[in-house]
Amino acid sequence: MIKFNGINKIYNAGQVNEHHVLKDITFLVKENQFTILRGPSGSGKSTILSIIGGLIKPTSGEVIVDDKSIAKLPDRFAAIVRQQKIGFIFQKFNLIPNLSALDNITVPLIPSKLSRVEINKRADQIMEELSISEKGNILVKKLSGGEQQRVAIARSLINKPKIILADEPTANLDRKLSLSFIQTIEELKKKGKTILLASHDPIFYDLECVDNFINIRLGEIK
Amino acid sequence: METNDVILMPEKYVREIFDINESWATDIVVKVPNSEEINIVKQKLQYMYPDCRIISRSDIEASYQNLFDYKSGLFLALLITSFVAFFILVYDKTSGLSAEDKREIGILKAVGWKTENILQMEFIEGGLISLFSFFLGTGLALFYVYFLQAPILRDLFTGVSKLKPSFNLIPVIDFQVLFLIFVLTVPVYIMATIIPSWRAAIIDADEVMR
Ligand SMILES: Nc1ncnc2c1ncn2[C@@H]1O[C@H](COP(=O)(O)OP(=O)(O)OP(=O)(O)O)[C@@H](O)[C@H]1O
Ligand SMILES: [Mg+2]
Repeated sequence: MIKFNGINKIYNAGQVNEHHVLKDITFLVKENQFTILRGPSGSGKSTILSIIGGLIKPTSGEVIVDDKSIAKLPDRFAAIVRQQKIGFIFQKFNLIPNLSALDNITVPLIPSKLSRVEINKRADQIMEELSISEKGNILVKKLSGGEQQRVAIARSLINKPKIILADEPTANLDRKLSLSFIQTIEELKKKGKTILLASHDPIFYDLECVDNFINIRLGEIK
Repeated sequence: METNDVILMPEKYVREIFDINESWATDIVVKVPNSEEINIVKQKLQYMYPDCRIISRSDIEASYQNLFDYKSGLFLALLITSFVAFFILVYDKTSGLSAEDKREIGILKAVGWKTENILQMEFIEGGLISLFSFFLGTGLALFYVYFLQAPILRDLFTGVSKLKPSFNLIPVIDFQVLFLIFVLTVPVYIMATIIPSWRAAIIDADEVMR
């Protein structure tokens, strides 16, 4: 569950370049829902995802992630919530180019107390499901765009998060790969994940599996 | 000027040991009261005894000076070069991270790493690199001096005369010096890796979203 209650985000508050990016945003994403955050470029979609992930703090308002209030949580506790509950998929994949696919996938668990054996077991299973088992030892910079995308998805799943946040996940994919990405998301939904996906890609507009749309324009919900 | 091929002893013993007759000498000092005439006297002596090597006091001073400059200059150059190289490296590290490094830190934060996890990783990385370099450097230095017997530098350090007794360099490890080098390099390098990462790790990590 993700709940926004009267969220405002002002960048550079009080300065000449003050920018009121989110204006009194309120919404609710229920457990196991697939929600699309829709809006033109610059409307504030990525900012919303960053706040949910605890990467930045809202200027005011309340954020609840899986019944934890995170708006005022100090950084290290926000990191713990992020590590336990959230998987991020980014537009630019954000993989570490000089690490292998397997190492990229397991990066989130390095600080955890899990043993290397357990970590590799999890990674093998996820790579199997995403059919990239053969790519484990290849440096990600040598993988194709679609393969990189799947490595990024695998990384977002390795901590068994309840919530998946995806920011423009299809922006760097062709239509065929976008459709296969949607299939993957559908499967994740069947496994009980809550998914919030920010995109202005029309490919998401008439999907059966989408439960809800949040339309945002210039920082306001429409 | 220190050399390791000179033994000082009274003239009497030298004559005894080497069986040198009172009327013989290997080196003779000639004092010339009028310094203007030194060169003329030198030329005349050379002319009279073509087999002798005639050197004036200023010749000796000049050659000692040359040698000393050569030795100390060489070492100063080597030392300064290595210090400058080290501090350029350290400066380069502290003066900031590349966009790529910052992005990497952003990624690590976004996938759930705490700031302390990132610093811990940098600490281990910096520590391993500097410790490895320290031991490698010390090892190579010992190998160069004691195993290879310090080629080139050995000639520089062991006196000026043609007479070269053979001698071996005996391994001596000066822990004080080693400790000093350790303290001057390893922690400095580790700090230089951690500080910029720490600065990057405490700012907002939403850069990865753009
Ligand atoms: N750190 C920042 N400082 C100042 N302004 C910012 C900062 N981050 C984002 N913004 C501004 O906030 C607004 C919303 O940005 P955001 O990235 O959330 O938009 P978006 O909806 O994700 O756009 P896009 O579809 O292009 O990704 C933009 O006008 C952006 O310039
Ligand atoms: Mg965006």
